[in-house]
Amino acid sequence: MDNRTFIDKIAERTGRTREEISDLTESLRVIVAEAIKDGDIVAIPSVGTFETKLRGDRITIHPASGKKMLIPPKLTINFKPSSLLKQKIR
Amino acid sequence: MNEKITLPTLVGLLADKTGKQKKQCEDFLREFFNTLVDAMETGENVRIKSLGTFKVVAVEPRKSVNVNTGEQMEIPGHNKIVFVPAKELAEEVNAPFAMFESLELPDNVLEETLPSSEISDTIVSEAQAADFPEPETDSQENEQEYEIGNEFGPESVLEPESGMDSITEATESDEEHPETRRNYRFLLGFACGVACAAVICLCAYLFFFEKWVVSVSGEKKTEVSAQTETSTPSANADVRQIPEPVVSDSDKKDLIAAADTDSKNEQTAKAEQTAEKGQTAEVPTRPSDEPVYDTITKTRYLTTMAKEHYGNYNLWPYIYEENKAILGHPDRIRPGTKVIVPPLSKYGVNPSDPDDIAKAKKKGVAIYARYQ
Repeated sequence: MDNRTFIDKIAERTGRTREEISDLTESLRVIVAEAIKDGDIVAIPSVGTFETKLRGDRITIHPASGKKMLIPPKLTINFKPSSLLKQKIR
Repeated sequence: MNEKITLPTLVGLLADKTGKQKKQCEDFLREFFNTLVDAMETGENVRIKSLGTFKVVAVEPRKSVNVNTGEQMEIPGHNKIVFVPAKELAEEVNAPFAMFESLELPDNVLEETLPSSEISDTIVSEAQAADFPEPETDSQENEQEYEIGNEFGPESVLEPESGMDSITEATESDEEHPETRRNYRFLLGFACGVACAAVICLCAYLFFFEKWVVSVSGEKKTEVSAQTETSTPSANADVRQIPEPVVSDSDKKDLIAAADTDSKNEQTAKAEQTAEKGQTAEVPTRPSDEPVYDTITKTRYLTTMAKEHYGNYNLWPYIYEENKAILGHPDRIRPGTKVIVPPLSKYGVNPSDPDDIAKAKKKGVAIYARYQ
């Protein structure tokens, strides 16, 4: 399901226009991004949690050149599905 | 930081941001996630622009072992959800680390940065504990460390594990900087605490010492008045050399006055007296020829007795010799065994003579040799 169908579906369910929904989705994205950037956890019941995790830097060997590379640390977004959701999709 | 944002909070935030009613926002959020879950339930991947893609991925069944029982078991195949954040969002979240780029390391990697910085760290902390240095030096040290940390690139590392650590510190020194600062502040506080404790102890010591001196001088007074024609304590001789031979009543009074006022002298006198006493106490050779009985316990061996009675644990073979009849292997004496501790004069041993100690050692070796 791509973005357009997703938005359409929500619009249909809530009875609102597509523009409205895509605005709201954009706002939701901004809010979630702000929250997890600060290290908060966004927990949505029966769906899961969004949070950031620090992936430390590490040394790897470049597969092609065989050189040692230092990979810098990174903050990644982690989504952990709730057990309910896990059960549903099983 | 580390707060949990729940759905109601999210609704509130969304309402604030969009200026819509809370109810509308709540409806939207509920439908949003319901649609998401419904789509995933049917095994569909959901791509939400600017947020990311929720993928449903099949996991093949695989064999595993129950860690508790060690039983073989099979984990059945199932689906799992993989969330791939949109590039835009991922970059936004990773903004604090965006300036880093992957580096190429030279091959001849040597162990450097971390151990040295650690050592300097401990040295600094020790120095702080010992004699509170200025905070400026701290920050300087800190900055130096920081610089060292940043220079990790060309220096690099020998072992991959420690190397990783050191480089972790190096690249993150940017963020760890305030933390080390806090650490130093803590150390400084600790040092101050120690100093305060030391000052209090000193005060207490001085106070009690003063009291003690007063009491001692009081004793002296009585002592002096008790002795009429006898000589004054030899320790006080330096003050009372002249009046000593003819001690009249007036002289006595003078003496008392001197004892009262000249507390310093009194102090030294007392110290000398105690020193004398200590000497006599320290010389453990008992003049009396009577043997002393002692009992072996779990924590009291022949050597402990030798140390206590003769002042040198190497002299234990003499106790052993005295009790040869009842003792077996010197290391396997039963607790509760009563032994006689003979006077050293019986064997003509002088505990302060190194030759005698050497002899005793030889004797000990000989005793052990019997049980080989």
